[in-house]
Amino acid sequence: MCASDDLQTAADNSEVINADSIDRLHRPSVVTILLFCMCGLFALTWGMMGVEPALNSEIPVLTRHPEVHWSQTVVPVKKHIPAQFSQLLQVSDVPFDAAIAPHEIRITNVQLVDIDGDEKQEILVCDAAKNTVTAYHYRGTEEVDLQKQLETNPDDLNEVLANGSVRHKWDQTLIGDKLIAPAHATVVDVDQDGDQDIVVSTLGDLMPSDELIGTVTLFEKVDEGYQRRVLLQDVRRVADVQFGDFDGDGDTDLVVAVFGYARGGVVILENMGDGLYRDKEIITRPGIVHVPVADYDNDGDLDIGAIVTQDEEEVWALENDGQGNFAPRVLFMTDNFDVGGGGLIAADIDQDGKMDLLMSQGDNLEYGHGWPQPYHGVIWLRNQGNWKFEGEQIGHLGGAYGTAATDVDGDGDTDVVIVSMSNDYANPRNPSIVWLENDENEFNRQHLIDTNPTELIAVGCGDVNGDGEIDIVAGQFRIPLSVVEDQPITVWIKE
Amino acid sequence: MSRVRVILLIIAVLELVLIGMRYQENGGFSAPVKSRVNKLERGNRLAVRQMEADLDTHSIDDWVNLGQVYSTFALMPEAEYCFRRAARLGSLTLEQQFKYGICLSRRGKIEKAIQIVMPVANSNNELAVHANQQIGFDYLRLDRRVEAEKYLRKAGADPISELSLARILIREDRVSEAIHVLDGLIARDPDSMRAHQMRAWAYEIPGDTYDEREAQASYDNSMHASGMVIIHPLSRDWDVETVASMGAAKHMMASSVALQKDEFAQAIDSGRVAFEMIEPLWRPGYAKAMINAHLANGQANAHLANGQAVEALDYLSKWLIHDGESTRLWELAGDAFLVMGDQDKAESAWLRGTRIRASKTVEANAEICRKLEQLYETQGNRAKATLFRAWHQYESGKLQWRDNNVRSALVLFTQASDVLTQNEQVWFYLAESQRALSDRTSARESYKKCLLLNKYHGRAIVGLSLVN
Repeated sequence: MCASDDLQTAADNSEVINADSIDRLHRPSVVTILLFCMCGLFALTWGMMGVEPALNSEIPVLTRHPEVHWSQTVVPVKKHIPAQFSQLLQVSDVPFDAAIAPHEIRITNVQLVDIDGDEKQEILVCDAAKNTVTAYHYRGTEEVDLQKQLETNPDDLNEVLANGSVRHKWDQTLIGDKLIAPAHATVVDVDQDGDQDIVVSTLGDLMPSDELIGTVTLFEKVDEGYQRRVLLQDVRRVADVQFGDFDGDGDTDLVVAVFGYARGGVVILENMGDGLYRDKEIITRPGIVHVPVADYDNDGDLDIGAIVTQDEEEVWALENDGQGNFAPRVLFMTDNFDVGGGGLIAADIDQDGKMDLLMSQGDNLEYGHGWPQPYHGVIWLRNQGNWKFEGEQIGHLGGAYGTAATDVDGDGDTDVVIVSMSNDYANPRNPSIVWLENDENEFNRQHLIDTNPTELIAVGCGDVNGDGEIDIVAGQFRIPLSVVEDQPITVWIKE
Repeated sequence: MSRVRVILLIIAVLELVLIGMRYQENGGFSAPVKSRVNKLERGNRLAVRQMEADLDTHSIDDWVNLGQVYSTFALMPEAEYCFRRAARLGSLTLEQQFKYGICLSRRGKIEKAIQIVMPVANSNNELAVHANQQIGFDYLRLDRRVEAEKYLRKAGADPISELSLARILIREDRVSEAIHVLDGLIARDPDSMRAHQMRAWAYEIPGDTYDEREAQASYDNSMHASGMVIIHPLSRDWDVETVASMGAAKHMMASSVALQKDEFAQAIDSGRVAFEMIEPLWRPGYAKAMINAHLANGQANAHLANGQAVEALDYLSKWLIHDGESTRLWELAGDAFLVMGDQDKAESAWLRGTRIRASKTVEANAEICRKLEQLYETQGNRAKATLFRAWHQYESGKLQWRDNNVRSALVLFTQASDVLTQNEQVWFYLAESQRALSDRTSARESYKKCLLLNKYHGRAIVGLSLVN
């Protein structure tokens, strides 16, 4: 007897049982079972054929560090429209600034720095939609009076409840307005009178432009606030200003990163006394974003680093001879025109006494919609001495932009925080801010800080609330063609 | 056969039919793609969804077109999926293969992209030049200079490829080869800023080819040349075309066409639809178009002038709050106030505009000065009219200088310097123009006048040293 005969017999028997005895267990034939299974399989196949393919970026999903926690809070940002403008454009009875339009979210720089000498750090913010530089002062927390909230502003009650019953309090000081696209504010006692002045770099236009629209503006601290004076104009877009006594004459000189577009360079503003400066171009290269100043060769004078972008993608050093004369050196270059250099900071990452550089790469916004690339992240340019810098990619984050170096986990070494402007945010699991854990100068562990808000361009670290822990502040720069939630300034307070 | 079996059999057959239908509909077992359009503005979101709904799953063209749209919006997994589906249906044309390669390249799958594009590069197709350039760029992204050079050379006499090639050669210390490439480029396009700029860098390299004078001359040329070339492969032009053909851009284009035909009401209506289509975003470029349409409508229809100017000012207010001030904004605000007959406010708006610099190639600074001159002229204020005529000459001179029309610039700076005697920048630009035209004596005098007004004017110090 063959197997199929057995099957048929069994099936026949089962039918008999089914037919003859209704009070016994239902036992369908094998053929029926097979038919049933087939129906199920077909139904499943039909169903699967209707399921859309899972299409997502293959970015590894990061997790948070089990022992390092922050709580996220939002800095309230008020509208700012200079009175002169609202008076001029007012043509109807409707109050000019009554919600007729929101500001675009274009924070270009955030940093934690003590601007007023009270030994507390403020958040210093450059906003290129409001065209302002503003300092935000942390004033502790307060309990939200829910009853009062219900009476005065019931519409916002849900939002208040969602954020918890404790609210962080902030004050703000407007340093300057009508600054067209401020890119960076540098806090320095430029006139050496014992208080902190602020030097603001303005692009003149956020969007690519090769016109002579950049400026360097000094906000000199005086008793009643800040006195404003333009130090440099008729230059291309200015992205950064740093300072130092480059010629050893005891006063403070400035170094200017002229980003431009296709043309740019590094300009020294030599302090000639009496508030006068002589400008001198020391290299011409396009797309200079940052000019971190440090003694890179440990010879006792201040040298200048410079990141060159706009297809060139190089890092230069300008070696100071101690007299304010600079010899250019190329420290790093890549033929990959697409890396999108986003910034350069100086930090002694391995704490060997030689100043290293950290370069972020991931600006791929030339055409509005970018995609994370394998080379996006952070390059550590490790100072080997004698002007040799060895490049190593230590962080991987699509659309990486701002970078900060600090001891995130309090273990005594220097970790790295990165924010991303243009990660694949269509997938809400992708991170917008991460940190790299330094483990004996290896950075094999990358931890999630948050996935929201997205489109972050700038990051700063410091102590916001004065508890001795390292907090993080990040600024959002909304990409003009993408729809994401607005959250201009976010603080992660370490718990 | 029992009734149960018959029913099950019927169900199975029905299911098979359904599977067959779905297979037919899907063009295979896999379901069509539904993309993640959550980050797109309303118009583009709707347009993409419509394309997805209309997709003929048996059409290679449809899959490729959809893949290309996804590539434009950086929905790369979706795009790659579409191209894979297209390739499964049959052979892709060379153009479709090129587009597939571009998708993979943008997705970061660079080596595979090169493989896909290679047959296009080796063909006689008109895209071969672009394919070679694309492969050259992809090798640059892999930091493989030797292969990159090979394919950039194969791309031939194309400015973008040649500039990239010159960069490689400079970095390889093959400076004379780089200069040869750049000289060829400059011979064909004397206004190529990037070519002059790179030539200056090439001559700065220490070695046999080092030449300080050539470097300085090329640098000078790069400072008053306006031919901008950045890496901009053909695929990016396709992106622009794709975006222009859908969503809000389509309506804004209709608005511009209507405006050109003096169909103002149509221009305004289409513009309004475009604004609805970009929600929840907002664009100053669209606001500018609407302001122009309203002001043109007001100028053409006197009885509407006031209302149209108010509409224009409403857009201007939103633009100001959304993006911040700009010279062009204040110029248009002045225009709107003038349409309303409010000369004081027009003057105030234009004066504010003179305090800042216009970006891009916008001529707003010169235009504002011209308009102020006219305004003061009509008011009989000769002194101010003369002053702003001089400012107009100076600003126009800077535009001529930027566009490498040095002789015209010289005339305008000379005229401006007759009135603006106390402005260091007027003397500086006059001196630069005189130096560019080899009039060293005059240049020396002008630099000195500049330095009399500001003894620390760094560029004047350098300029003077070059003519002394």
